[in-house]
Amino acid sequence: MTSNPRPGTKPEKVQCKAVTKKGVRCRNAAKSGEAFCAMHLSMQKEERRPAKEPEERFDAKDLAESLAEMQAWMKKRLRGDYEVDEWGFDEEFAELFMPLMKFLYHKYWRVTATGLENVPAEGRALLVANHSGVLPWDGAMIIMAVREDHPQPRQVRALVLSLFFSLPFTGTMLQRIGHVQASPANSERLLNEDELCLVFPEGVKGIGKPFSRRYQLARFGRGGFVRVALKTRSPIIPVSVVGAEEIYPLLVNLRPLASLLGVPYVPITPTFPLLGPLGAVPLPTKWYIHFGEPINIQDMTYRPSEEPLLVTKISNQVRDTIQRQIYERLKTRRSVFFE
Amino acid sequence: MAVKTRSVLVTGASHPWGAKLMPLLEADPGFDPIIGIDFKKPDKPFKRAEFFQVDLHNPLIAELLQVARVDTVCHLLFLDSYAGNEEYFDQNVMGTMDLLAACAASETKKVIIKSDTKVYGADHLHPNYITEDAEIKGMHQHRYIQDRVELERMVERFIRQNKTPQMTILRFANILGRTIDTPIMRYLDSNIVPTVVGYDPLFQFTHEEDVIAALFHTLKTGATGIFNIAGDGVIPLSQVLRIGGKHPLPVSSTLLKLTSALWRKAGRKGVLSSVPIEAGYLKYNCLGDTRKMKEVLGFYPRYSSKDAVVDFFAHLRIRRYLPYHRAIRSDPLSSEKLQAWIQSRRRASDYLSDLIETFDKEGQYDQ
Repeated sequence: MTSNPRPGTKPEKVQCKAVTKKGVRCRNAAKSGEAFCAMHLSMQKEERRPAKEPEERFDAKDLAESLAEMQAWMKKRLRGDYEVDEWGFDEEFAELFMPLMKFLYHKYWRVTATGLENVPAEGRALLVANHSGVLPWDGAMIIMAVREDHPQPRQVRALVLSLFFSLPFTGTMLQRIGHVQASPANSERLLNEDELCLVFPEGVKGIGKPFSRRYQLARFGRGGFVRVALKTRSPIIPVSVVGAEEIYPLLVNLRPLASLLGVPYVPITPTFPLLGPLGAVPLPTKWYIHFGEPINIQDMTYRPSEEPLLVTKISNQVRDTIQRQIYERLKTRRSVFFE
Repeated sequence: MAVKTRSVLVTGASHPWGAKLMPLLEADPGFDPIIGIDFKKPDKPFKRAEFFQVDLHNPLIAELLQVARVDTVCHLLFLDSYAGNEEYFDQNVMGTMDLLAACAASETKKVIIKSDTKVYGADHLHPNYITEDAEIKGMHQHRYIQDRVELERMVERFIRQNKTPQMTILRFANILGRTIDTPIMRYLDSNIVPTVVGYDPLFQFTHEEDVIAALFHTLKTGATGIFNIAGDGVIPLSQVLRIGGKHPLPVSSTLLKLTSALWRKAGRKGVLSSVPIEAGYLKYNCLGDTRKMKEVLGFYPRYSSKDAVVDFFAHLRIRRYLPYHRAIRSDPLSSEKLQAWIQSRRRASDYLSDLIETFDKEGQYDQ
């Protein structure tokens, strides 16, 4: 397979970088100023796979090298020679989960992320998203979207319900991979440090809602997120997630058992608890994440007496925007599992 | 021009914290007279300070404050009790009450109290960084925390009822050091360290040098208010143990509570009896927000949390090889200051001899 343009063609003509479904390099010339041809440009991003480098052959030397590297890394960890940041985020440790997260993002849920240009490359911003899917995978995928598809990848700090932080293993784990316990004081501190924060104002009401009420936003707390945004002068970016509602169809919530155990919900899904731990495997739906246009709170001027009214107004505005974004996507969605 | 001096009274002058602070005050001509009180005799005599062997209940303290025109009281007398001890409580809380009453009756302007960030209590509902105005809801299993909480509540009441003296409370995060004894140091001192299974809280540490520096800084600047004092950065408990080469023993929190209580009651020694840290603090973060320390108090600790841990374990490792076990009078490692002095002297004499040489060469002395 020749990858160079044939001799005699004009120098500005570049071959399209995509690979066709058969695995052959596209023969079309790329559009001027672009890397792909007209056909592949119109396609979705993950379909137009750029041509891969030729596969490297297995090499024992490489293996030995990578093993030695791993050993050195383990030694360093066991000596306690690493850093966590002030929120308990351990970047090295979080890096261990990247292969799994990348698999989930690209292969399993095939996330299509749009509107990333609305996420600022630097400076503070508050991402506000709809919450769904029994287990908070949606937060992880929004984080991945900004890490993988944003032109300037950033670490999103997801604010997670403090209940999860009280659980053994889970709490510590969440902290080490960069999540922060949800509280107004924490989000204020994060935004003042010019971080990118992610909140789910629906909270437990969103994540534990029954399958029959999917894609209908629950109540938006008490507007605490707007108060924090106003106080720290951070733009609010409405984020809508479509596809996460169907990963664990919650048929019944065993309320009495939940209150007995002191947890917000005990889900009964088609696979849980029927298949035991296997029930925790989510369904491979197709996801769409859209980052909407920011609501520029930082430019607003208001009297202190107007704040409560403003809080409800903006809270409703954000809620309506997310709901509208979800419906827009659902209008064109043809299948839950396929594109 | 006469230097304006301030009169200072230090309680607990014979206990480690007071004994460390006194020489600093004595070296500063801005503090005069300096009075130290404690219920036991000091190990070494003071150079300039007056010392009186009295306990805090003594009614003469009020008169002493009056006569010596004491400007600032630095209250450092606090006894960490690991088992329930009424005498300690009597000194810690009731003694402070008497001292504050004496201060209110005299012309004392400021009182500085050394406290602990553990008074906030460890709870998963806390924000990650607790500000000074948060409610005090420390845990009650261990007496030394209970005493601190009682003390702070009492001070809170006192502030509400009295305008003078002004109160300054310094809440220190876990203190590590070489010459002192704190609960967290006892906890980290055994080879097998019990932890709570499934939890790995973040810790803040303060080095003992920073504690003294913070106290001196507060005395010097006369700042008032409540401040959290802790080194920069946080460090997970698991990492602390790894740096120290200790082996964690994960236990369920209920078991930890039960056994440590039983062991303590029975007066037995063993792994589980050496848990002077309550299970709650081994589960959830209890971190102080130190922004006020930097912005209002203007104090910047020298040791970060990690530095304090590294220094502490370095000392633990070398401790048994030092000539005086535990009670080290002069640390052979800390002769840096002396070296610096010698070097500066040497440089000065070198400089002088150089000067003389050049003079000799130019022949100015020959004439």
